[in-house]
Amino acid sequence: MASVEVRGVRKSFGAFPVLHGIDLMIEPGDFTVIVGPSGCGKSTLLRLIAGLEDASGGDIVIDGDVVNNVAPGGRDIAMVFQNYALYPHMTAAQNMAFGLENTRVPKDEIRRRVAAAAETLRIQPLLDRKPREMSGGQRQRVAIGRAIVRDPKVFLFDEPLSNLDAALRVQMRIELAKLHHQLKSTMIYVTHDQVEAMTMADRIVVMNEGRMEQAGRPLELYHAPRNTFVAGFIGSPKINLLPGSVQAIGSEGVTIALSVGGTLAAQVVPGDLRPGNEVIVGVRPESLHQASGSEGFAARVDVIERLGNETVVYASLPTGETIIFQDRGAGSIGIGSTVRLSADPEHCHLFHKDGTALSRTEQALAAALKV
Amino acid sequence: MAARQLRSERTSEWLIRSLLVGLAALWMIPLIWIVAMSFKPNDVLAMSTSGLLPIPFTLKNFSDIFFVSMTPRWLLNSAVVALGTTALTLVVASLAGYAFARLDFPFKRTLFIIVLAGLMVPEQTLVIPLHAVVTSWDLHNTHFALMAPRVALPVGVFLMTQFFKAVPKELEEAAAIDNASRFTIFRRIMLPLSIPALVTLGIYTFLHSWNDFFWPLVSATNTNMYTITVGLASLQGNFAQTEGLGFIMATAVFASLPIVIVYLIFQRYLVRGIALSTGK
Amino acid sequence: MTAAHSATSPKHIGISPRFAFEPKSSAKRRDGLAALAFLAPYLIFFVLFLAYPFFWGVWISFHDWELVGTLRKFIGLANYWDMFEDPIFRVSIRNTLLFTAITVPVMVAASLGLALALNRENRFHAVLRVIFFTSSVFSVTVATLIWIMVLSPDRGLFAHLFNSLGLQPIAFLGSPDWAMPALTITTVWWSVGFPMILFLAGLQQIPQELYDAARIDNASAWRRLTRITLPSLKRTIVLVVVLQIIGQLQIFGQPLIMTGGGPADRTRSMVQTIYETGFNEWQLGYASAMSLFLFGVMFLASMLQLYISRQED
Ligand SMILES: Nc1ncnc2c1ncn2[C@@H]1O[C@H](COP(=O)(O)OP(=O)(O)OP(=O)(O)O)[C@@H](O)[C@H]1O
Ligand SMILES: [Mg+2]
Repeated sequence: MASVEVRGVRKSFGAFPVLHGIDLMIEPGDFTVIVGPSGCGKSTLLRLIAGLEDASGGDIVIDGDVVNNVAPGGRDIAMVFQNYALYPHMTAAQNMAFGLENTRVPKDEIRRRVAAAAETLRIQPLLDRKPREMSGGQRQRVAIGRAIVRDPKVFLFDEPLSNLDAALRVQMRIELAKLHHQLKSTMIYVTHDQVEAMTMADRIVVMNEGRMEQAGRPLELYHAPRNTFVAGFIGSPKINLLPGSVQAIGSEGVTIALSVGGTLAAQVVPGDLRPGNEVIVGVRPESLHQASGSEGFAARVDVIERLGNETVVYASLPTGETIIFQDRGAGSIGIGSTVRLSADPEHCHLFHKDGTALSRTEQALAAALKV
Repeated sequence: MAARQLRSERTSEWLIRSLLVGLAALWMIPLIWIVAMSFKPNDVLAMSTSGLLPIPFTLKNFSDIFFVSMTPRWLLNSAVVALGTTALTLVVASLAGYAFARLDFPFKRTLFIIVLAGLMVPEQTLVIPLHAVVTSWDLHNTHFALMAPRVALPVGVFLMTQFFKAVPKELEEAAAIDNASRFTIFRRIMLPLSIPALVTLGIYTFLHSWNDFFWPLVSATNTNMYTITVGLASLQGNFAQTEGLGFIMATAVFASLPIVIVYLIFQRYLVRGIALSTGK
Repeated sequence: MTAAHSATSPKHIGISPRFAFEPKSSAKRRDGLAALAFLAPYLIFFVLFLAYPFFWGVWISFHDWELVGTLRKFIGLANYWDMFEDPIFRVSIRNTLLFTAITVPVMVAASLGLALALNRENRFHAVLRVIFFTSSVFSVTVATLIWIMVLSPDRGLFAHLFNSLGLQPIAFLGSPDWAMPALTITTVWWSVGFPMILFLAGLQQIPQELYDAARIDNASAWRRLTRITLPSLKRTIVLVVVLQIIGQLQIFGQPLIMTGGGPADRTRSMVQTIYETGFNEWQLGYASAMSLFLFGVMFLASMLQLYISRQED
């Protein structure tokens, strides 16, 4: 167990900047997930922590020691790669033993640790097989096994599940969470899949274009995103973002006139917001409900996805944008029909025109967390 | 319509097959004939060389090789030179190939281009100055002088560089995280992975070295240092004399035996290797 | 070798994990040291037995330089001027170019034809591939020995054939008209295997879907060949042609052993003249100049390949 600290780390490939100053503190034993869209620099950040890449500036601190000048092998970390990177000519057991042999661990000790890891991961029958004789999921387990036997201070994972099929991915997700619970080691996990992030993380770090957008507990990010990017990235289906302008500011919250017509209210702390300011309202699909009369706004239904446990409806607004909502009326609407949608003020987010969020009121957050 | 087309394709298929068999027979007849002669008595051959079967049959030509000729010595020279060249090439080319493929050092590109430029220098055009240089070092008539110029050729380095470049970088990164040194990575990860490439490079080097002609012809002037390739050429000088015909054929057959065996054992690597050397 | 050994002795491996991948400036330097250890063994050979002799050859080509003895006189470009006045060298240039011009097309056509016919995955074709490649493993001495015998006017296979047909056998290698074609036949028999395999490798890279699509489009076998196979093989064809030009320009062993360059210098090649100038007449300077001329010709051939492949991209 060790802490990992990233202090003002910058990285450029040639003249092309990839990371613009990242500051991050990871507590010992935390399972931290770094998420962000493809190409935002997640892998680069992880590789900098591993020492596979040199930073252009800033410090990497592991367990209190600045490790900028320490080779990967000396950082006492283990890494699981997206394509497993198992040594193809070695058996599973040899793959796991390799790192221990390099640090002169006695043979008996190696055998003991490999056996223990194999038991944890239930891969005893695979120990004498070579990677090409294993399935993707089995390879993934061996790759994790290779990391476990090292008993490192920090585990690093770079999209370890993205080569697996959907069912296996869910299963491995659960096993990884269990493993973390069992080992209690510091783990840093990179993915672009927000579901993985939400389900496994103690803490999530959202990155975008080489910058850290927000770091926090999963529900914190879900309910109090700092900006439209985080709001859009966390949560599935995606949050709806509707532009509008402030109509009134009252004790019950802020009322917004939407540019598509109609109004919505949001329970936020108005700060220096003035009527007439342009803003963006954020409403998650599950917060929208069908409304009657002149409440909310109108949309025309395009596509209905019936998933059994829920029904997701895609509708278009007069401006042509798509809005997503969950239909709880069990098949009461049809394609082409027009619906009126609204949301309760305590479930609405509000953002400035530049995308930064206004903080939601205490009651709103409390209500959200209760749901 | 479709049936007719199929039938005509089948006919042409059989036509092509028979043509191929005929051609292959033509290809092999000279070989069969030579082998047959090597098993015939010299006095019989002096009268007639016709016939593709070794009748009457004798092993005398082959036993003569051991008792009255320099051939065993020449074969030994060839074996030492070819195996030595192969071993040296494999060691030297895999080390250098790894450096070019995976290490980061100043002037890497320049150095690589210089080495590749060596590919442009044809072996035959180097023989004259090489001879002068080796004379000044007083190395002629040594096995080493027969090996070194081929070890210096950049083909092996080029092949191994290409091969190592294709090994996924993550393997090496995983090994670095596993606390492996550069040399451990090379020896325990890269070398085992490159066995197919090494086998290919090895047999190519062996074949070429065994069959080298021009350089050993001018460097090994002492009959004791002849390779079998050069020795056989020297035998042909007096092969107008009919009495030695079977003997010469036996020498040729015997001299080719090692190389044919190597070829037949490794021929599938040969094909794979060519595919490898032309990219992808 | 010693450098590689000391930098990577076991002591180093266990204790200093930083040897590999150490970041920052010291990393580059360490990597540089490792690179030196990895490269040194090859570079020693490269410098001593390739680079140095090459430049040495350029140097002595400006000299009147004898193999034995002490004559080393700087004469500038005189060797190069003499070369083109030299009737022997001129005739050997002519022969070499003629031989290349005859042999390359035959070789390319033969190897391409064989590759097309043998590009199947079954035992029959695999065995034939082995047969057609086998002759390539023989040394030039063995290959020429075989063909001297086959072509011999009194004891050769052709002689037996001609006799049985009641014809007068031809002394192929002694005939001014037949000697060169005889060398071509020998060369094709001896070395068709290598270009054949290059073509097979090229054929293997053509995706099968292209042929499937063409069949569905009702393309005849001929059209599949001319519209899919040959265009896809273009790169390989250029490669084989250039390799063959470079290879055949260096022809040496076949005429030297089979005809001695005769009859009447009709098959004397450039390399043979270089060889005799250097080692029979002991004029290393002059022979080096000739070598460099040959190098220049082959350099042009490789540039041709670069040029053509550039044009394609
Ligand atoms: N070795 C390199 N040289 C140059 N540019 C690089 C290199 N590695 C990464 N990049 C660039 O840095 C940026 C970030 O890459 P990185 O691999 O960290 O993205 P990522 O967030 O992991 O994306 P993904 O989800 O697709 O894996 C990309 O724009 C990429 O093109
Ligand atoms: Mg990535």
